[in-house]
Amino acid sequence: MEIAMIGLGKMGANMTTRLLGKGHRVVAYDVKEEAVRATEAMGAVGARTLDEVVGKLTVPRAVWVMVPAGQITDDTIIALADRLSPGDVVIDGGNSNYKDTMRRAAALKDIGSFSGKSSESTWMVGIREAPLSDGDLREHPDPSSFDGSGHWTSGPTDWGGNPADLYREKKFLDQLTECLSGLSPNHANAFTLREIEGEDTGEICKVLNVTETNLWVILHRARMQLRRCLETRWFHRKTEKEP
Amino acid sequence: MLSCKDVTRLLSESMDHSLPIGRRVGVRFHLLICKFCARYEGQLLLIRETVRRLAAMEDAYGFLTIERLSEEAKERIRKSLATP
Repeated sequence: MEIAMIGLGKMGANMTTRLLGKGHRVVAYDVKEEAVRATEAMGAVGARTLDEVVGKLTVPRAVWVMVPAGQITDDTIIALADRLSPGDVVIDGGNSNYKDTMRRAAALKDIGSFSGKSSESTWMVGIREAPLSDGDLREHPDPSSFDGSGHWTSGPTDWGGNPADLYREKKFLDQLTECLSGLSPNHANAFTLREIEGEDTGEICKVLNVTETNLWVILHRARMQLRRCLETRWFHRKTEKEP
Repeated sequence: MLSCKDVTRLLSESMDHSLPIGRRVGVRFHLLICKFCARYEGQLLLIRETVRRLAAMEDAYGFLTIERLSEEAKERIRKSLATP
């Protein structure tokens, strides 16, 4: 496939390396010339302007925006949107200010964009726009798991078998993506970046525009919810009661 | 005394940064006496390990999923363009 990467910071550059490694064609753009050069050296097609980005992609275009929050970023995205056509796809790198910007950008109305609810089946596009909501930070990720004094009401069940070989089971991937899509956008984003991509928390905080303490709460909730989903839907075991 | 609810939160946190020594001791002690929390920790680590292995596998990696999603997305965009 062919995709443009906008923003060649740590994460954008890593994604680019991985895409190139799998034989995909990547058009790489960054405001910093040296960042573009570095990806060119790895085999990416460098672009110095957004017009070049658009010109170097075949229609329908796929553009992955992997940039931290900020006004300059918003301007870049609007400028990019102006140059795209209906049918093109923009993958949002998770900037929480982006949503409002997108609403203001009339250009995007004609292009359409992902909404948080729409990505039923993916991890990568699980990185999507969503402002941080109170729900993301609620104290009890899974209130039904604990009683008033903080003891398990129904504890984790024994998953049995040989779970270390789980990754070899073909259908597990489908179940995992399904469970991931049940998480709120911020939870899915944080989980994807941290557990799948192995990014450090500092980097994730920048992209998702949250504090580190918030991120810990988000990850805690995401892990707990995902664990429960996998237990119910994959391991299918009857939940034990605490004796 | 840490409750199971506290311990689950701290276990998750310990996967992202190292806990202060007192906390770490408290959590370890709790895990010795609580089978559910010990199991919980094992399962979180298993999920981490499994998703990373999956991500490293060619046919499972998300980029393939992107291609699939692009189609879905295009369809959605077509639909949204069709409705005023």
